[in-house]
Amino acid sequence: MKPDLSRYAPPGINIKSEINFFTGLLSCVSVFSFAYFLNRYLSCRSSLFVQSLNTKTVFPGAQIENFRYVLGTSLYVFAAAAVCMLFLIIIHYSYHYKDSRSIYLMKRLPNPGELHRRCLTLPILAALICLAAGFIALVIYYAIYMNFTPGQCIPPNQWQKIWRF
Amino acid sequence: MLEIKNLNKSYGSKEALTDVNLTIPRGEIVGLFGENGAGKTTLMKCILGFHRYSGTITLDGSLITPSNITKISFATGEHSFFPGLTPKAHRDFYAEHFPDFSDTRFKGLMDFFELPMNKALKHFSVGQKNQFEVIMSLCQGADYIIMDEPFAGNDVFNREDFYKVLLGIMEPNETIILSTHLIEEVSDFIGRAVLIHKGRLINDIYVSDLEESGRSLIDFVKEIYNYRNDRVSKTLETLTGIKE
Repeated sequence: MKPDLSRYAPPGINIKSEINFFTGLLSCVSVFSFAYFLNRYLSCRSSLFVQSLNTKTVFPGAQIENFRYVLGTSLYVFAAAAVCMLFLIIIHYSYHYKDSRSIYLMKRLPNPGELHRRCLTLPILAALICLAAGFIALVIYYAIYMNFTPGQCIPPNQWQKIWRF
Repeated sequence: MLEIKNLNKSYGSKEALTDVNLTIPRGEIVGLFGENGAGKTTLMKCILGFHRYSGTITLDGSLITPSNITKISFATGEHSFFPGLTPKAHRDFYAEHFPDFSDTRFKGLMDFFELPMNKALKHFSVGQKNQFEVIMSLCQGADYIIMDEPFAGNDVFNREDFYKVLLGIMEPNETIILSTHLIEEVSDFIGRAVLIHKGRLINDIYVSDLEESGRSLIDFVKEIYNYRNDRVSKTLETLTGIKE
């Protein structure tokens, strides 16, 4: 069953345009992030090989850069998208002052949390989805790094090194 | 009963309301009058809890909180509906949040004013928006209906119709507090007049008492506000040099 998202948004707001904005932004961010990562990865990977006529061979003892280095800032865009989604909170609250003062009605509701529920839920959910998408991208990039790099060229403990500061 | 005791409200250093005391029993129609900036809207917003204030405001002996806020409805010339929603969607929203919402009254008033049920409010005319605003305040199921300049933008026939309908449908337990500048127009409709001047409640009188003393509401208001009848002629004389 499709959830009725309008119950979690300010009444009467154009929720379709918000969903379109969200999906559009997330798509752009994902494509940009993937292209950025792929470019860096392929560049690092190509330095492992030596080309002789029609064959490519791995440099003896060659090691690819750490995954964290290859990752670069490719995931930052997801965080930026999450912050963008939080700006929707401002739009949701200001909606109640636009063209009428529906804020007066929202403030008179017997459930005092209704106003905040309708202004905060979707932007927070959207921000969390952006962060989750960033994590999924991390896993995918890691899988690419591990599966498409010759095993002998991968330095040990790559996953752990991501989280090491 | 709505009781306001020692109400004070200021915006920074500017006092908007000073020591306001007012008691309004159920079943009254009270007109709230005063010049622009007198504090009428501020008083209403304090009752509704939109403003912080000092003093106490109680409704049937209890402070106004989310548990009894549904007993008060509000119609404002600024409008408080959702412009993107249709009347039908408003009905559903009100029915969900206000347990005493009257669907019968809603349908009756929508029919009376011939308002479309499935058109977004943003496409309504100003007059229609005002009508809808007042309709919702009357259908909420509130005992105290606060109206702040609700008819600004409506033509005189429309307003007269509204007063008649309002008087016809009001239940004995319903109270209306109406702020308006249309004093003459509402003089037959209200039972009591409360006058505010520069944030102070300066008079509170029953219209029946005025009638007994042979005075009209508008004359009484002019008298209280020291309205100078020669004001216009003196200005014209100054401007044109012609004596009337």
